[in-house]
Amino acid sequence: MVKKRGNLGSNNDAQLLRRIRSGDPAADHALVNQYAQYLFGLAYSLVGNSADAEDVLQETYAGAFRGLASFKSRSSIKTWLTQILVRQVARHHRVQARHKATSMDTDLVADSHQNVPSPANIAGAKMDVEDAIRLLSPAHREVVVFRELKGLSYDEIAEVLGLPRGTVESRLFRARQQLKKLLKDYMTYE
Amino acid sequence: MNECEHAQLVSAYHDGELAVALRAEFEEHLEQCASCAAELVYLRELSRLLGQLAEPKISSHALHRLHRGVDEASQVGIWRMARTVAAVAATILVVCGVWMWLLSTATAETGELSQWERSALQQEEFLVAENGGEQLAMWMIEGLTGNNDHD
Repeated sequence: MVKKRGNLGSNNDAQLLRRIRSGDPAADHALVNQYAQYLFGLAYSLVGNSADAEDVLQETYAGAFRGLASFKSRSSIKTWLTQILVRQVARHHRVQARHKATSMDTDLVADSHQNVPSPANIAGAKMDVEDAIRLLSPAHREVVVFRELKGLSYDEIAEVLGLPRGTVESRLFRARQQLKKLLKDYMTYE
Repeated sequence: MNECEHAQLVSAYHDGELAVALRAEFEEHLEQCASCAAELVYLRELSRLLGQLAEPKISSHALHRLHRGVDEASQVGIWRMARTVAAVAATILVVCGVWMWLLSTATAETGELSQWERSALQQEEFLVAENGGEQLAMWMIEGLTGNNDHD
């Protein structure tokens, strides 16, 4: 069993929310300080580089402060922030995909993703673990990151991603099968 | 690839997500199924590998940017509130202005009619005064003659 690195609950949520809603500016900053590191690590794992992760984080907090009035405390602040971050990451991926499509349409860049190894050309090569995660589809990457890097339970992943638990389970299974192929040179058990 | 029909359960077992009853049953299966046992070893190895990934630290610059963003967001909130209050005040001012203007127009209109109205009002006042005097005179006569029913 994997040792959990953290979960999504927090006892200070209600108190922090009260302070933010009463207009205490220090509470706004406390919200940033409390979750920025966790969210940055998550964003980095999902988008693959620091610059984009910082942008995603900035957008996440901007969205959070905009929507704070409508936050109903049905989930923890951490879960709520994570859900916003996941949406921002999805938006980031859509923008990236559009840029890529535009580049290919205009044929300005002959091979814009020369630096990104494809599963075909990395076969047999020693694969960096982070690159392997990056090669997964966004849907598979999400579940792997939440489970393996953040230690969330299946139910917590389902809540954050808004998916049925069974879908989380099957995505995780398929993602791990894909990682098995990508990381075969790293595995010491064979 | 694990061809066993229970392959997906290995993942759930590894993650500690199997119900207790199912867990015991699956452990029995693991003792007999080599491919599931191998799959479990693989998953443990994978978790070990992924667990070695260092979590990147957020830079102080990025944290500073976040705090600045929070301050700007609250400034925007204050400005938005100030704009709303100003808009409400301006609306009240305009409504009051229009109302005052209408009132003064009505008063001016009353002034234009005053020539005939004033004479009518004067006649009215005269009649009231005259009738009032007549009534007073009647009470005085009744008092002097002692012709009243109060005694």
